[in-house]
Amino acid sequence: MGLVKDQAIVLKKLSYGESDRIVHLFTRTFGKISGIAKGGNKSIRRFMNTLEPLRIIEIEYFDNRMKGLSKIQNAYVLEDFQGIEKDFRKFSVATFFMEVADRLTKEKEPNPRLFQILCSTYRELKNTEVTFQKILRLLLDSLEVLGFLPNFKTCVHCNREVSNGNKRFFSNQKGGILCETCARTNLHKTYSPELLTFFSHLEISELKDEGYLALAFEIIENFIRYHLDVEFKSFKFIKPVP
Amino acid sequence: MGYPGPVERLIENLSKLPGIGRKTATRLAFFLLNSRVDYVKELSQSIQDIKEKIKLCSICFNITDIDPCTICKDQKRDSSVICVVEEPSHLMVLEQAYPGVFRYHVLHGVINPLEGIGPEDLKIAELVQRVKDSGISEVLIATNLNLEGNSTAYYIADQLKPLNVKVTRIASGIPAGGDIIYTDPQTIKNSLENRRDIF
Repeated sequence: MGLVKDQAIVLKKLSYGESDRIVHLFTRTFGKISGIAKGGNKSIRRFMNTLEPLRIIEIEYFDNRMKGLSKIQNAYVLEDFQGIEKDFRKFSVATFFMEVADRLTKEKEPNPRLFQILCSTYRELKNTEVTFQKILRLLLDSLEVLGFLPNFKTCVHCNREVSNGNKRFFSNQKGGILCETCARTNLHKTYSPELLTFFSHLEISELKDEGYLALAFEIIENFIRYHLDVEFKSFKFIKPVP
Repeated sequence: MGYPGPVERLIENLSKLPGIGRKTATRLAFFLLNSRVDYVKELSQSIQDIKEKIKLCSICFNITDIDPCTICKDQKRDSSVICVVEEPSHLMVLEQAYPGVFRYHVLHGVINPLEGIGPEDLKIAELVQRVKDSGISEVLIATNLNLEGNSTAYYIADQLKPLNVKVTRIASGIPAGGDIIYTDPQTIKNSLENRRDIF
């Protein structure tokens, strides 16, 4: 493939050698790619202030299908979200979603919806206050587009519909809620039906109780840890302290 | 057939150093093999010394072999200003460019949630305590001007707000010898906002 032009968000940057930089980028068209920017750590002309997180950039790169790393030729800033870093909590949330996109996606798996979620996350963080409800909603949206959202609607064992009042049993191992009958034979944890109903309607903004919020984060964290074997380093900075 | 045991071990250990592959490690091992004994002894002693004699200064947390370090002991330096840096190597760069003026505080990193590094992993609480305990009137934050460096600077400024101390940030703009045509918009914006009088 020749020179590719695409929009991207920097997910991770690593210094390589004296002056080069390796970046993980999430592109609008091709999903995650890894690229090397020659002189990316030193060049004040080509990459200064562009190959950084919290920006939507336009990149030109040579897709190196055989060798893995694409060679980044140029980068320009399209939209800048500077100001997020002034607030430690907002900065942690922004980096958390970078980590989610980086660690839960494979290279070159297109996911334009996740790209959109990342962009709107940055916009929301820049323009509005950050709340636990907002973080949780964005996380559930991301898990949904990645196909990793736990099932909060039907019983994960018998596939029967579970009414809101009976949504009390959550099986981390099975990846969703259980009906009363299946809960007798499957490993689960019991929660308030109110909490699991919030999840099933994704009406997290209505979730006001601090104890419920902490539990909601715990459910999702345990689910990701169990099914995806991923421990997010930035998670500890964004979740509510019980 | 491989090299004799001690040579092989040396190659293995040298190839653990950053940027050194097995080939370079082999070349270095043979250089050492052919060097004078006193040079090899001095080299091994200096490697041992950095592990045994180097510690952190109890005031500024710079690396030192005496506590407090020579910079903290220097009475000629301005005691009202603390310059906050990320790493000891950054301190050395500032000190070479602007010698004998500031006292320093080394954070030993920057806030980086992606790596799991939060404020409590850095020497920020020690900095706040130091400002509280001494008559410091200005804290100059000289962390890198990237996302992590800026985030750390804002966090420190936030922590120091109740102490009513002046918090400043190193200037950013077009570098000496730089060309406006090739400068990115953010740097141009910074340089215009941080403009200063010529006289």
